[in-house]
Amino acid sequence: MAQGHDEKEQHPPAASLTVIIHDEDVGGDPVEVKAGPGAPVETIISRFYSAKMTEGKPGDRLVCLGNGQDVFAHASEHLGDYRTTSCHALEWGWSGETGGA
Amino acid sequence: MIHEPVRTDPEVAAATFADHLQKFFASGRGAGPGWGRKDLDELTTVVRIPARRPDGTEDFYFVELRADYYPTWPPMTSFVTPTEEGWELARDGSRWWPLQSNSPGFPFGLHATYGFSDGRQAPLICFSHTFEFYVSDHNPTDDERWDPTRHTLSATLNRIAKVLQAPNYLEPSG
Repeated sequence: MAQGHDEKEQHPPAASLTVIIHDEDVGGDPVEVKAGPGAPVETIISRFYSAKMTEGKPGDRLVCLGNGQDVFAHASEHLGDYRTTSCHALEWGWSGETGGA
Repeated sequence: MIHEPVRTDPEVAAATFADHLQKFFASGRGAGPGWGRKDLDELTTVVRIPARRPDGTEDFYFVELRADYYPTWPPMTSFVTPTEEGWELARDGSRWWPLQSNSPGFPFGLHATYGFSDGRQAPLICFSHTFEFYVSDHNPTDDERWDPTRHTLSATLNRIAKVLQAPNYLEPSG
């Protein structure tokens, strides 16, 4: 049947990914952001700040807890690619600016 | 320093300290392998923090947190050494004082000896999430300054955990 043929041609919807983001300045329950693998990393970052009801500042840090690497540096990548190549567990830690020397 | 620190009501400090410790160890880094905690009294705990050298070797350190001024001010924070009698300040050149490069990706300094505002000479974990930072003639910007609405002891412990990871962390100093 034509209808069945059409169903075979369609790609199943990509499963959404869940990014767990800890506010490492405050602690407590993390923020969970769900997005498809094609979503840019910067979209997840933006949703995190929306959940915190704040805006990003120049001194902010966001790292992949699995490897300690900067997440902001991967902002333009697709989330699925970023998970495959860099941060497999998608668990991040956010922190604000600090002073010291 | 703009304001002289005033000790927090001990009941308030103890309740807040306990709540924030519980939250820190419930998720994130604190829930990971290698972390531990031994409460010495209601205002004092010693936290075991894992460390990793550039070659992958794993170490651990003990950091004492005291909540005398908490949460208005950060916890009093120091590396400590286990002894038969209890705990004492860790010293440079010992197994319990880390050798690291002071470049964890945020402003930070670990000083074996530092001159405090009251004339004392003592070790200093120098960044804006320790109490000692504010009584040793430092002047953070508003964004850097400890703010109890934005910071808890989680900020202190997570920063020290980052310091104790390669490539910044190297090995024990003795």
